Amino acid sequence: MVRRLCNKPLLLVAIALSLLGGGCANVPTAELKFFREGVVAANTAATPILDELSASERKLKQAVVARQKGAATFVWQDAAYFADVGDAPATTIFRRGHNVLDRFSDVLYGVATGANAKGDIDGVESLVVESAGLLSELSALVPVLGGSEVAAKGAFEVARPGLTLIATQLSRREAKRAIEIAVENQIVGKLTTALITATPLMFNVLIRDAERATQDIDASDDIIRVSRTAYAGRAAKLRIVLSNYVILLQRVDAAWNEAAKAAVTGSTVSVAVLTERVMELRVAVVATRRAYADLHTGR
Amino acid sequence: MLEDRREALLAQAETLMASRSSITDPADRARLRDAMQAIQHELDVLVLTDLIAAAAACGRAADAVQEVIDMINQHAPEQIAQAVRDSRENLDRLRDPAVV
Repeated sequence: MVRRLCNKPLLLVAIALSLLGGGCANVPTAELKFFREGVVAANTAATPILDELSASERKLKQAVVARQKGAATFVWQDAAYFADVGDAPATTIFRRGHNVLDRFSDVLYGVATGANAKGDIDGVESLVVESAGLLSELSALVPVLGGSEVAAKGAFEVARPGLTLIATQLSRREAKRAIEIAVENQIVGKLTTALITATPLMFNVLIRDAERATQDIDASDDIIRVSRTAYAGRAAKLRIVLSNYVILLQRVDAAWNEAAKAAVTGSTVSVAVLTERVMELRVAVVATRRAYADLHTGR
Repeated sequence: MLEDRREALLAQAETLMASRSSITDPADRARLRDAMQAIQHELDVLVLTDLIAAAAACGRAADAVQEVIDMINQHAPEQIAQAVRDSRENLDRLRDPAVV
């Protein structure tokens, strides 16, 4: 019987496929790949900005505390503003926003492509090896069963494509379900909007030092003139850095909307178009990094 | 609005800066310095408060995304594992001596 089963590979595959109980899920892997690339690009651009924001945030808080009158105190709740490790409080949350977007795009792309299915299939393989062991033991007792071990191992090889298909299809179905939930609750749009909306406030913090230098009562007119020139220069450069960052976040949102739309209507992006878009993103990241580097030069 | 307040404080600072060259009396000068320091302090507190509020909104949005990640991480493997378990039952038929 075992041999008969294994000699009919399609039977095992059919049994396996019957568990699917439905058609194939339409998952826009190309669009999700682009969304993933967009998130990585935005995160790359965000890293130096958030590093600097953290330093500025700390500096501001420390200045506020230093001005307080009376005996010096230590407020443990303010530890993140004074510590040498990690980020200042607000920056920690912004960075977490980027990390969460990163994980979301990674997990979703992994599920959509069925990348996690292999482990589940390997689990079944070990079971078949176990089955083969059992059949070997039985063979010793009942000589007529000779060759069952080989047959059981063969059965797995026959079943593997079907099992892989099941796991991959279920995985894709989960991806589609996750996209639907994410679209319904507008989670990506809300997060990118929150990050974009925060940029004017980031600007205010990042420009504060230069701003304060222009308001020194005891400075000479010459020094104030220099400070005002430096302030205008920094403001212009910060506008470029933050504008690039905003554009990258908007692209993340647009890429997500495209993936969400494609989950309903079907994928329309070719590999060539995808490659072109990814290249555009990478160019945008390089531009953002260059703008950030300019922020710290005298030009 | 906090941004309006910031604009008002910056305008006050500008006014104080414009008047500084005409104030030479040390006592008046000290008062001017104190006034400017009070403005600077409020500006620092204001931009920090604004930033924290924006971060809080971002944190809430990030929590919602995290919930979906958790759902995927939990639900997807469960579904796949169930399908594989069902398939195992089919494979287990190979172990059944009655079938053999």
